[in-house]
Amino acid sequence: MRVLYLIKPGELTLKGKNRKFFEDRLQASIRRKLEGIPYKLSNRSGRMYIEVDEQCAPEVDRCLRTTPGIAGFAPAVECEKDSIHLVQEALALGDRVLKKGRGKRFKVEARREDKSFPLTSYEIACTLGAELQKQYPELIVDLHRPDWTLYVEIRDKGYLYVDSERGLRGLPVGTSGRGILLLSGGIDSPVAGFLMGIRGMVIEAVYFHSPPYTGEQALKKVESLSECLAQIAGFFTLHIVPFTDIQVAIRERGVWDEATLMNRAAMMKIASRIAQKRKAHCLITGESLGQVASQTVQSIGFTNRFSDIPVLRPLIGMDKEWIMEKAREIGTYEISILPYEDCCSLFSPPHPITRPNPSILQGHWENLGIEELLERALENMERRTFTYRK
Amino acid sequence: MKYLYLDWAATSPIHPEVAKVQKKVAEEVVGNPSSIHTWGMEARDLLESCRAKCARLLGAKEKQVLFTAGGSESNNLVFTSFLLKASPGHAIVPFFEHASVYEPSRILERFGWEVTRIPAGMDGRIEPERIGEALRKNTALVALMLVNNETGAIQPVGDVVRMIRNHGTDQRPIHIHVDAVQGVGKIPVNFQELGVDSLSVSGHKFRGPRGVGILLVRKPLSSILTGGGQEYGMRPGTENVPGIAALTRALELAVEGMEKNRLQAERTLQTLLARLRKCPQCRLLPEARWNNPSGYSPYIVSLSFPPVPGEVLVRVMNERGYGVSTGSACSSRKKRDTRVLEASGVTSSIAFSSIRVSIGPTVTEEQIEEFADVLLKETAILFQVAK
Repeated sequence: MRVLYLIKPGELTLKGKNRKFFEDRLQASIRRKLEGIPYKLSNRSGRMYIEVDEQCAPEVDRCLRTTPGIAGFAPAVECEKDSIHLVQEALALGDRVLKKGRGKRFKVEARREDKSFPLTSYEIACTLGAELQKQYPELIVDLHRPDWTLYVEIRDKGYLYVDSERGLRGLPVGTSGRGILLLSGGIDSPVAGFLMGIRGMVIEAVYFHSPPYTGEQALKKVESLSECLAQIAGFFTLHIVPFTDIQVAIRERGVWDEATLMNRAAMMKIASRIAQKRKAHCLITGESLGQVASQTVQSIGFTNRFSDIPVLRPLIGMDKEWIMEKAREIGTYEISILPYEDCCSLFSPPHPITRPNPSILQGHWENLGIEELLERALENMERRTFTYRK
Repeated sequence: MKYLYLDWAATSPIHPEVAKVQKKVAEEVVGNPSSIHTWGMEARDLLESCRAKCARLLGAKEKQVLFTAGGSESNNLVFTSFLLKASPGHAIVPFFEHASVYEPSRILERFGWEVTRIPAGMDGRIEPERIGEALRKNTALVALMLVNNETGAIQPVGDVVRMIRNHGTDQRPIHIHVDAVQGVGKIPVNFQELGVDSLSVSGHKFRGPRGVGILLVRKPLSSILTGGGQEYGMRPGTENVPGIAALTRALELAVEGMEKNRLQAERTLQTLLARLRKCPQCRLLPEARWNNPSGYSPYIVSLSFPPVPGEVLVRVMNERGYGVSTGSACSSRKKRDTRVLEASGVTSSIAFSSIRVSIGPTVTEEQIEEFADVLLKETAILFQVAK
C-alpha cells in the first residue's frame, strides 16, 4: 500500500520572491536523507507531498521529523474535489480513529485554497462534521478541546488527515550560510549547534583535543555528539585540533588566573582561521551570559576580539535549566553528561579572572608568543565526517 | 615499545594451563550436571571433585562451597539474603568496602535496615574497637574485606571475629561476611580458622577465568534467586562447569606457588618503592605503609603525584606501554570515585591524584625498575606543567 505524506513547510510561506530557493533547499535536504528509498516527492500549491510504500513509511517519518524547514506533516488521503468523495474519505478516517480509541471529542478544520470550490471552509467543516456524527452517533463536536481534529484541505485535489506531527520548524538547511561551532563535549555547545542548524545554517564543528590531559573517551563523546547533530542536515564535519602544546605553553608562559581566557582566545583564533578556510560566515559558541568565568560580558568582550567574523551565541540569554531541557529533547544530554572531561584540572585555575581588562590581557596574549603553535595546530588538524543514520 | 600490564587487581592474565583446562572441559565435558545420563553424570562428577578441591584449598567443607559468577555476585548473594529476614536489623559496613558490598548495603537501607559505616584509621586498616563500639543488640551483619583493593591494606579480620564472638552471649549470632577477593590465592585463607560466616572469592583475580567465583557459607543462606535448585538452592542456574574447573586449577596453582610468588612480589614492590622514594612529590597511600609494609598486600600499591590527576597519569603511562589504573576498575569509568581512599585516611585532593599499580607473579624486578624510571620521567614533565 502507498502512503501519502502531506508536508507543511515552515516559515517558507513568509518568503517572497526567493521562496523557490527555500523550497529547493528543503527538497534537497529531504532527498539527501531518503537516498536509496523509492519515493515520489512533489511540490504543488503550497504543500509538499511524498508518496512512498508503506514499509518505507517509518524512514520518511524520521526524515520529516528531523529536517528543519518543516512546520508539520501527516499521512493524508487524497480524493476528488467533490462533497461525495470528501464525505466518503472523512467517514473512513473517522472509522479508523475510533477503532484506534483516540477519543470521541472531535472537530473538523477546513481550508479552501481553491476558491472555485462551491462550499466555504466553514461550510465544508459543518458538512463533514454533521456526516461524521450521523454515521457515528457517539462522536461529540468539541471546538475547544477535541481529542482529535480532522483537517481538510481543498487544493488541486481534496486532502484529508487527522492531526499532524510537529516538525522542527525553522528554515531548510543551506539557506543561512555556514558556521563553525566550538564543540566541547558539554551540554551547551551541541544545543547551540542545533539551534543554528534549524535556522538553516550548515554547521561544522571544531574540537580542541589535548591528549593525554583529556582522554580518547572525551573525543569519542564529541564524535557521538557530532553524529547526533548530523541527523539535522544529514551530514556533519568535525575538525579535531591538537591543542596540547598550546595549552601547555599558556600554562607555562602566562598568568595562571588568565589561563582559561587565554585558552578561549586561542580557540577563537583557530576557529576563525578554520572558518576562513571552510568559507564559513560565522563562529557559534554555547556561551551563556555569566555561566562561568569565561562567559561574563567582560570575558566575552576579550575573547570576541580573536574572531574576525561574527560570533553567534544562541544561548546567551538562556538559563542552564532551559538548555538542559533542550539538550534532553534533542538527545544530546545523555552523551554530554558522560564523565569524560573536556579540560584537565591542570589547566583550570581555581580562581579564574572574571572581569579582564582587555588591553592588559591583549598585552599578555602577545607576550605568550604562541602564534607559531596555533599555526602548527592548524596544520595537524584532522577532519571527520558524519552522516545521517538510515 | 614494550608493554607491561600492571593492573592485576582489576583482572589478572589467565594462566596458560588454566586456559587449557577451560578449553578442554568446554569441549569435552558437554553435559548438564543436573542430567542423569552419562554426560550429565560426568559433568556432575567433575563439578563435585572441583568443589572438594576448592573446599580443601580454602579450609571449608564441601557443602560450604557455592560456585557463583564472581566476587560481586557472591557479595550480593549474602546481602540480599538478609532482605528475606522477618524484620530489618542493623549492619556494619566499612566505608572502604568494594562497590559490590557497599552498594548492596544501601539496598538494605532502602528496606529499613540501619547501616553503620566505619572509616579506617590513617593506616587504611579498620580498628576492631570501632566495630565493637558500633555493635548493637540488633546487629545482624558485619562485613569486612580481607585485602583492600586500592590500598592493599590487610584487614584484621581475625581480631574482629574474636571481638564480635566475645561480645556477649545473649544476642542473636552476628553474621560476619568477608570479601576475600584480593586475598585468596595471595595470602593464606582458611575459612574454618577465620571463623567467619561467609567469604567471597573471584577466579580472575588469581589467574583464573573471568565470570566465575565462589561463595563460602557456614550455613545455608536464603536466596532471593530461585530456579532449578542448583548449588543447594542458593545460586540456581546451570553450573559453569568449564569455568569452575579452570577456577579450581587456578586456585591450586595459586596456593601451590603462594609463598614463592609472595616473596617475589615483595621484592618487586620494594624495588618499585625504593626507586620512587627518590621523588619527593611521590606519595605512598596511605603514608603509614612506609613503616609497616607487612600490613599490606605486596601485590597492590596506591601512589599519588599531586597535583597531577591520576587519570592523566594513567593515560600518559598507557602511551608509554604501561597499564596502570585509577583505583578500582569498576569505578574508574565513572566520574572519579575516591570513596575507598578517602575512607582510608587519604585527603580527597591526594586521592584524586592517585594511581594504583598492581602486580602478579610474572612481573619481574627488572620490569618494575624500568616502569619506575618511566614513571619518574613522565611525572617530572607533568610537574613542570603543573608548576
